[in-house]
Amino acid sequence: MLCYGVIMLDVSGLTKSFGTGSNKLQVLKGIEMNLKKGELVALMGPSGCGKSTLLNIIGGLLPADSGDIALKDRNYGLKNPSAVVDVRRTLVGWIFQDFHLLDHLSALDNVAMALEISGVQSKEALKRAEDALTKVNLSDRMHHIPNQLSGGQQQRVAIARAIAGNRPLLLADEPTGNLDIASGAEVLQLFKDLCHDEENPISILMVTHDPDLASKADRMLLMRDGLVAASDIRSAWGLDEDGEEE
Amino acid sequence: MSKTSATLNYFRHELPRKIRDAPDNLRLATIGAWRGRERGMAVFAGVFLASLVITTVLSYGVGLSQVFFEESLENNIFDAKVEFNKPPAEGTDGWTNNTTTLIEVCDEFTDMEEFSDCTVVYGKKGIHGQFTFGNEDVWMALPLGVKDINSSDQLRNWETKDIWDYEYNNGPPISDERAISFLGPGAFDGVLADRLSENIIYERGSWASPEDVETKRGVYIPSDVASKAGAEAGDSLERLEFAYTVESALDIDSEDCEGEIYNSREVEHCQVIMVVENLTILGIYDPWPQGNPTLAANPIYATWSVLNETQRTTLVDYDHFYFGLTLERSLLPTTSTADASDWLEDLSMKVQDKEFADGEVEIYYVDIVGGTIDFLEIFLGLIQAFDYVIMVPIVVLSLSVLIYGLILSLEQRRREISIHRVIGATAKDLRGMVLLELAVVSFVAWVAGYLLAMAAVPVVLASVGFMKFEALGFNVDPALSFGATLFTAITTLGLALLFGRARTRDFMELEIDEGVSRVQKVAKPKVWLHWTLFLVGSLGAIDTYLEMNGSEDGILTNWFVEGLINVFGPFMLWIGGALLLGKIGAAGPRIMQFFFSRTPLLSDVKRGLKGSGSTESVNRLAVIMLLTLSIVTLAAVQGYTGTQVDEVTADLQVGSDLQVVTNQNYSATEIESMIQEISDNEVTALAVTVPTISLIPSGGEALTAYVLLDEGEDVLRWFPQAIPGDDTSAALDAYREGGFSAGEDAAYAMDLWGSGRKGGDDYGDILLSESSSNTEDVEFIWEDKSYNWTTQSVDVAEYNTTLRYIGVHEFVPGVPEDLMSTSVVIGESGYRELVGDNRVDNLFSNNWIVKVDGVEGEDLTALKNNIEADERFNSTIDWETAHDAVERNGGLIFGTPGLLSLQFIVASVAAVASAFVFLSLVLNQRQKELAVLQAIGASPNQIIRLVLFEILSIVIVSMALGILLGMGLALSFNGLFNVFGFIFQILGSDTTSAIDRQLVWPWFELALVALAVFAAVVTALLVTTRKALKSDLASVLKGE
Repeated sequence: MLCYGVIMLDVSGLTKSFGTGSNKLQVLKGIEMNLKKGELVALMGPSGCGKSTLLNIIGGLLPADSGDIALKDRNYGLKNPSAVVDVRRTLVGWIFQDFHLLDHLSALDNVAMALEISGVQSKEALKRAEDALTKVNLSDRMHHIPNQLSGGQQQRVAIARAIAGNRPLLLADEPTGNLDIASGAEVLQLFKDLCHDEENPISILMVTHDPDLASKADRMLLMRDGLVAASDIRSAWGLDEDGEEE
Repeated sequence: MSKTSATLNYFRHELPRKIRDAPDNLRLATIGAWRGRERGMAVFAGVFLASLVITTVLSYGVGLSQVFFEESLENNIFDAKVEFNKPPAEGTDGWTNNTTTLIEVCDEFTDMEEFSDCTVVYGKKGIHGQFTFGNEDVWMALPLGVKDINSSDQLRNWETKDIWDYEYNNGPPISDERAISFLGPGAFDGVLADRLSENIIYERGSWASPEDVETKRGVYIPSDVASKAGAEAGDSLERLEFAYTVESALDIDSEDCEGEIYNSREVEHCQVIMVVENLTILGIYDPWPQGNPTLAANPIYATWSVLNETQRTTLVDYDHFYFGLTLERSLLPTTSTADASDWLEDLSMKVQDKEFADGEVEIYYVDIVGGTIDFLEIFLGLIQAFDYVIMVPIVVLSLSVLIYGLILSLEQRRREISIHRVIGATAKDLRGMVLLELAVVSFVAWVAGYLLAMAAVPVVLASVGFMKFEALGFNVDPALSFGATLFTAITTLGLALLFGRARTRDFMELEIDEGVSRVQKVAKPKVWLHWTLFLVGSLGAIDTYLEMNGSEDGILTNWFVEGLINVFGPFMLWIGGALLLGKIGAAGPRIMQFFFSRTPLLSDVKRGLKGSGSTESVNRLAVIMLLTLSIVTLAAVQGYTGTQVDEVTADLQVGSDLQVVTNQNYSATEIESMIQEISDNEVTALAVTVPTISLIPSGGEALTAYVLLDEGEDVLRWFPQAIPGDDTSAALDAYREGGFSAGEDAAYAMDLWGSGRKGGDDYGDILLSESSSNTEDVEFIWEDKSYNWTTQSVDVAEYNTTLRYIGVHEFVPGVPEDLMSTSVVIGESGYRELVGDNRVDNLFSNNWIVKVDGVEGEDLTALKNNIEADERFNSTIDWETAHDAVERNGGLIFGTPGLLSLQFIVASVAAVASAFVFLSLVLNQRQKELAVLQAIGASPNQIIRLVLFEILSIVIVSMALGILLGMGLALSFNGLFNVFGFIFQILGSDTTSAIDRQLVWPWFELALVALAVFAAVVTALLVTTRKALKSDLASVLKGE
């Protein structure tokens, strides 16, 4: 059962430009969007439209020039990454296309490490890491290092790392980009399960170029020229209410 | 296309294109190198260091040969000797006894630009051929030997026993007599006068002009003869007798000899006395070190004008004649001994081919400088071999840094290379691009290292102790030959390019591999080999340690095996130790976690340290830290040890600040006031003598006993090797309380513990206490003999005392070391018991060891000169001069302090620089990892703590292990020093090997270097980590 309704993330008037003078490039021109609790949203758009930039700003890796982000009770958007460590620790979990696991740590340590740096005690961190890995069906691969895991398994470790801290929002930047079709489907199913979890549903904002993947999301946002051009699946695909091309 | 047409095509099209494009490519490579200067720094550091070290080592060899050459030239008065081609004989030509003609020949020599001065000399007989053992004349050519001097001055004692004895230690022993040489007017002006006047003792005469010396009928006496005779400049000599040799053969019938037969080493010489009268001593000179054996060393010099024409003719007729020449030394190439040899050989040929006195005189040219070079090359070869051996570690280190720098630098280009591959660049193009940039950076680094080495070598050669430098006294131009320069380029620039080429090719292959598998195939290290090297190398260090701590043979009893391990052990220990301990260093974070894991410092980041030491780059960093710190430790320990050995050698030779020998016996108070008076009361002097007494141990034979007077504790410069045990004050107390020690041979003769006679435990440098089972009381008898004029016989009164044996001694400062082994040393109390208080309280001696307060360095030497100029003193040695003679030896071999100083400086700089440069690159490689950590919630503080802890743990543990390895190496190198010491002892040129190389541990200097490295590491870490924290996280994570 879906529990849409509560706005988890609210982005308003977000702008971001790179460079200066004549080289200045306005990437985000006033983004307005929101995400509800338990919602899996696909963010699509042509290359260079600002999808990843938007994700990075929401994830606290990049400051915006103007605008505001409200995530649960926290407002940010213009602050430097070092000033929003708490956002990354407690509110936003990251899933990257390249997984970005620490090569010299096992799956369990990769997950537990993220918890420990957020202030969780070692014992508790291990327990929660084990739970998270079990949740992503990797209970039998906990002590393997990334090199010993397949791409899909590595991405699941990254998901476990992101969800272990009970963060309400996951940001996934092309999470299936480096995976084969079957692994990609598995990851998407996992996303759906996480969003639709009855006890603790989380929200996921996923950047993807794969229309098939996007079509399986609860909602899709289309970005064009630094703005959110459509905020539902039909309009995103350029269809009217009846499914005809506009 | 056939092979020929392909080659033709290459030369027609490809090569011209390459040449056309070369300037552009070079420009682009230079720009690329500048833009990538951060990664280029690693290559630069490696090539620069390797170039600096290798060039310095080679150039040092050139400089060393120049220094030795120049120093040896300083000992030569004559650079060449010219004799008649054949011995003069009646009826033969090619010679003349016409004085005018001889002077003309001298002038003909000085007309040649290669010669600056010439004099006729009546002295040692000619040898008319090569100075080889096969030349009979080498064994026959006697100098003019002094037989007697008469003077009406009653204060002078020309009758002193053995006054004309002289030991020639250069060349075959053909004479034991003091020589006399008569010099022509050429010796009293120009270059010869300059050289000869140099050693005239201050205020004891001067080298006179040709006119003066002729008018005054001057002679110059060596100071040792003058001391024995009590002679001074200005003394008149009524008569001087010397002998010339008429004939030499294995057997001469005395009836055929108009003079007397002089026997020397189974050769008989018929000698005739010649007399010169009414001479004046114009100066006293300090004897030179003996030079070329074709000349008589340290003769009495006299002007030839004291000989009448008949005498001159006679001396020429009997072959006691030669020309002494000086070279125009500014023309002599000093770039290398080989160049000098070539020049001298050409000159020799030129002179031999020249006609003198219109062909009346045929000459034989003796190249004295060339002969010196031949000897030098053998000696220098050994010294260089030793010096090169001790430089091996720093060369290996520099090459390690070079290779490590290349690896890190090329790693930084991995992504760039991948991108170029993707856009279509071929492997060949990419290799060319990387190598050209590498070539530009390496070339600049090579030139910089080369130039710095050229500037550094004169400084290194000028080292007079570890990290102590003084002006060398002459110019050194250590320029390398083209071949040697090319060698430095090949071993640095060439190696960089070769290694760069191989590594770039690996990248290309790896890139293709990674499409299939992400696991790089790395050859497994041969750990068994590392262990073998380490264990065998450790044996040498342990052996040396045991030997230094009382064991006679250590654990290696076979001298051959011990010798082998002493030579190769240090390097085995170093390489094996660095590779094994490097692993422990790389595991530093895990080791340090043991102490810190539960502290707030690590509680939240400790998991990030798991497996951190396993990466290649971290492992290499640990090895580099180990290598550098071990070399720093080795150089500092051996450098300070060598410096101390030199100081102790001077302590042993002099005993204190001064040692004086007087003409007659004086008391301590008199000596003290005499020295104070000479110094115008500017110093306080404290004098002590070391009297000797003949003692007979009960049941044994008489031994010489040296007496340590109580004042000796303050005056003599004691050192632990001298006394039994290593506590000087405890040993001196034991002597004072009625103890005695024995030299090893004396202990053997008296059957005392410590001589090694009974093997096993019967050996050790221990001060025996009263309760020791090895101590024993020995009764000594002193026989006081006096001549009884009444009974016309010798009365003997016996006195005895019992002294307690306290162990084996080695030296007493200021007492000749060669007698110590067969002697005993007793304290003042025992001496008093035997000879009585009156004799001790009124002690007179002519040999005093003096401590002077308030004067040192050059002032002490000046004081010594002033004392020496005083007629009451026969001879004086001072600590400063004695130390000067050994200070460049580094406790063993000339130049060692400079090389060890160079090692210390280069390794310290390498430690700091490699820490800074390589850490920056290592952390650059980890930028992505740090960005990921931030993305998952790590704060800047946590990142800094994680990185600092990890790298500092590696660095600290590696540094500590490096110092530990360096200590082992220092011990191990002592064995190597001993092997070379043994070789130099065989050559008879080593005077310092009597002193043990008791290692000095300069903790302060080591701590200073460790702190500097630590500071560099922390700075590098903070700068790089901050940079990583400030970077655009999103870009880093995207890999942009």
